[in-house]
Amino acid sequence: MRHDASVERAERASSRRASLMAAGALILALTAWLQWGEADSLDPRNRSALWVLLVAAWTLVLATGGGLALGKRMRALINDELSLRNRARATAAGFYAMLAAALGLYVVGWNVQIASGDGVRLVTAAGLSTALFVYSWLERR
Amino acid sequence: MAEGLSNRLHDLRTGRGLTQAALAELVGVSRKTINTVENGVFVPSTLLALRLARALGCPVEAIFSLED
Repeated sequence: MRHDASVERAERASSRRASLMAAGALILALTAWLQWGEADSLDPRNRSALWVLLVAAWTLVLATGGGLALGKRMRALINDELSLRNRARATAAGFYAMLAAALGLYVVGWNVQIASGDGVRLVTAAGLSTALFVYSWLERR
Repeated sequence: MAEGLSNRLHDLRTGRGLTQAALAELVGVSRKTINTVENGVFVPSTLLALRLARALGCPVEAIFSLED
């Protein structure tokens, strides 16, 4: 049926977005883990700048729902009521994960010295990765 | 199913010969949203409930009702 076409396209776009967000969550978590404790990764001129860009890009995707290149109607379909609710739930999950990571670091910091850059990266990765992963999971249910 | 709310969206939609995708197109949401409303996973806003009622040509109370 012709008038179903945009809904089907939106469904495919939504599925692609969910896959990309899961990949983004994995990339962020892996990057934070691999760079933990590396002095080079805290150099403001090197990998730390890439980390900032990575976090900014995925935060933008999470905040807007992505698909910025799609038309207005398609964006409305992939960011409909259900999707907005899923994003709100994912963002809340990310917030609590960030809080848990910050508290965990605080406690660990009583006995182990942790570089501030490592700590910030871990807290950021915990929050953003969780939010992206939960959003991806909710969208795929 | 959300506690205390039942809906007849599936019956009303199929009774009018509409697919989930066709109804989604009529009310401007994704097919997944229609599916989750039908399954009781997602309780729609008042606005979406009214749009569904308009698309199906029936009052909102014919779609959604409180369980006894």
